[in-house]
Amino acid sequence: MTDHTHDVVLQAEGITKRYGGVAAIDRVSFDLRRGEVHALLGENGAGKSTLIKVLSGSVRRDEGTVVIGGREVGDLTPTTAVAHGVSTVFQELALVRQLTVADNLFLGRELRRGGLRDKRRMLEEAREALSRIGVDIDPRRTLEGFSRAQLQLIEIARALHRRSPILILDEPTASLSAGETRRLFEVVGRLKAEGVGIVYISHRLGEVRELADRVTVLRDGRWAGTRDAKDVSDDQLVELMTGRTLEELFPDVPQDPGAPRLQITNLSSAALTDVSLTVRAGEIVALAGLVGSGKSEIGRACFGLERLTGGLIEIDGETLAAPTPRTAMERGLLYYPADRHREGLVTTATLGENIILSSLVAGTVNRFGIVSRPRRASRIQEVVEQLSIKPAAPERKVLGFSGGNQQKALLARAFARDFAVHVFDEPTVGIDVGAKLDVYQHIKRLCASGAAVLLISSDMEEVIGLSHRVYAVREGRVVADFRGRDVTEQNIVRAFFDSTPSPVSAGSTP
Amino acid sequence: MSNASNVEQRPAVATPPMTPAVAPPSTAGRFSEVLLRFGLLPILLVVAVATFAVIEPRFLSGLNATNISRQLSFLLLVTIAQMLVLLTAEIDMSVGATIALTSVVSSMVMVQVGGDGVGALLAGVLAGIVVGLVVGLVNGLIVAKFKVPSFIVTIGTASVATGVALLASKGTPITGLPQVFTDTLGSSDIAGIPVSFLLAIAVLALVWFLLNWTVLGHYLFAVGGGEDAARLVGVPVFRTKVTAFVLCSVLTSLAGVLLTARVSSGEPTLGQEFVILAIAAAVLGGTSFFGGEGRLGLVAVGALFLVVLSNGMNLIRVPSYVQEVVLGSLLIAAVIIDRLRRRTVR
Repeated sequence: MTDHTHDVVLQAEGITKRYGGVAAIDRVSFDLRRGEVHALLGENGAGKSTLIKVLSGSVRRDEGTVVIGGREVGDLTPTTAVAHGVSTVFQELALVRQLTVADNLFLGRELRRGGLRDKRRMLEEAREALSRIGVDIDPRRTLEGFSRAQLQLIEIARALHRRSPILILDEPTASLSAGETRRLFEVVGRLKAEGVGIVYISHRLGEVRELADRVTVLRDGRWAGTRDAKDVSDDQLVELMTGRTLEELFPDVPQDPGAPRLQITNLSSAALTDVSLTVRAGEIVALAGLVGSGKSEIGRACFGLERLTGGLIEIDGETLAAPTPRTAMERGLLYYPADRHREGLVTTATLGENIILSSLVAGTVNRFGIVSRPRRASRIQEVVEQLSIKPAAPERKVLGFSGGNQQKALLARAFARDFAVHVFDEPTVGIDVGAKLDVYQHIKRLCASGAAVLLISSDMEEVIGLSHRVYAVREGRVVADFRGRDVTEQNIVRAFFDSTPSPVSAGSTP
Repeated sequence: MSNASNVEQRPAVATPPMTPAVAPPSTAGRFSEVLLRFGLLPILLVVAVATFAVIEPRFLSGLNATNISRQLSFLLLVTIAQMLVLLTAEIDMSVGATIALTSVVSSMVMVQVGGDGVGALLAGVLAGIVVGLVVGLVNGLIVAKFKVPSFIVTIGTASVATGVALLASKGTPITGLPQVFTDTLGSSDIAGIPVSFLLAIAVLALVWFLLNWTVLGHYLFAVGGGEDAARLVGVPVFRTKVTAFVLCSVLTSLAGVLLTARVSSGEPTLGQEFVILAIAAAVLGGTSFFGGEGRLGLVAVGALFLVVLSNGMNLIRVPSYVQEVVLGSLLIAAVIIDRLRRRTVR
């Protein structure tokens, strides 16, 4: 199993992929050898998934060359990638629950005999494929009732049954328990011994350390370095992932914390375990964590968007029991959702409609359920000016505006009434720098007026640049808090990637 | 799959952005602008009126105008009703059965109360409205509470309501309705305009006010345009949906009462054709099947167009079977146009 022949099975050179002019990955190079596990590391948005999407053919690269098995390949599609021997197991599994295991393994490339499906041979080969990775599953069963881990193994069996020399695993342990993770590692070890080259994407440094022969780190869509796993320390990896300079983007928000306005005690749900935190008047507190860490769920829980199993939420010292968006808002807590299109905006409506809706709910432009037209118009005008929404055309459909201006339409809710607590979930995702500045100014104003701000963000610069204090969230728990000098990227990211193995993964708790 | 469109966008190929709002003021441009804003409907209406007027001069007579307005009053009410539900991205397939049940129940109540006074009339109308309230509440509560598709739920309630109507009436028309009822609501007019039409216009005005000037009106659009987003702003989604279904059924019941007065008997099979007619009229009038979009004025024109079409085809003796084919084709064309329009505006 330690037999390293250095023949390269896959070589990607100068890969660039742009989305609407913005490069998701920029001249990234990557190579994979026979029989090695090559880990791909990086923060959210570093470009890991874009790179594997390019390699697996699900997005088309704009520039760069890909050489597989010594031959240069042109445009890759999911089908041609498989034909070239690249199989990918994505986080979202591509299985059909109603079909049997065997049928899933052969989906799209059924064995035939005289024009009919050769059921017997498919069943036999399915058994063989499953036993190859040491899984004891009856291939005649449908997928109903299988655990996520089993489904993942089935998908790996499918990938391998194609005799692919290259296997890409996208965060395969994200939702596996410790025991299931073990099993997966055994399978990976076995495949490696057989000479399969494996690209392994993970957020957990401990796993990478245990499995990988080499590590490539991406940062901001660029190649940050490739190292032999045995020659690199955790600290060095963290530095590779984060090392960048902060821009002068963030307004200086004077820190003058007052009384606690939001207090959460031992909050628990399917995704959260015993979360406690406090946000004071005039304070910006960040929740930092990787995607899926549960940081967003904490904010959502306060707004009634997460089914709670225990804990206490207090706003200005008063308990908010069984919150719903309405009751939370009545009590002074406002949540700005991350998904603008689904949860943030009424996409069929105009900018003005979207701006005015929260004022209608708050009852500030209407009496007896009747909307005062002039009040409505002047309110919209006021908000458009205050937030400098461009173009100032409230009668236009909101979808016609840029991401930044759509985000401002969301911010307009703050003007509906006085809120004690503002919870921002990824407030600057996908918006340009100018709009970011406006968002930060808006947050600063709220803070200066004595509101408490909880900032949920995956953008480390934002977390560090804007907030007074930071809670690090991992696997549904608050694992650390930082203030003052301790608020550094190194400290926070280390808390995300803590290499101590997790006791139980978040997904396996009932 | 959502990446598919990204894949197509190669940087080298600079496709011009589609911005119909700033189209050059050429004739073709203006025509397509009108088309985008109002859809095909106004053009279709003009063409239909012109065609019928040329083939059959009686089409433009005063008597026929009264006929059209009387026929329009029923469809207008049910179309407005259906539009309110469509705005919330739901649909009510039970409007036909609601008309039938209203007809049977209000007739039975009037016969029970007896006599020929205003009391019987009021009791009948009230009973009809109560039927609407009940059906609407059942539809709305089930759809909003259990988050089940309204298409299926309302087909279910339609079957139940039809069954109850047939049971209660034993499958036969209920006759002996008070004269004052059939006269006032069925055949009388004020200055040549049928009372039923005046009622429908009054409802149109009220609903226009509701949609444009009230909080509830804004909520209807918001819930249909983005239910999750609406809930997160604090819009009472549950209450709004229930209200939409109740308003729909009550307005439909009003149409049911007027139809009953028109045919002078309680009919357990009344009104079935209104399900498809109302949906067709609302969609022809630009109401989106996906919720959140629709303009009342155009929806009213949609209803007018269908009534003109059926009236005109009757006058020039187009067989009713052929009329069915025309109506169905129109409905399909309307949703395709809705889809295309949406794509272009994006």
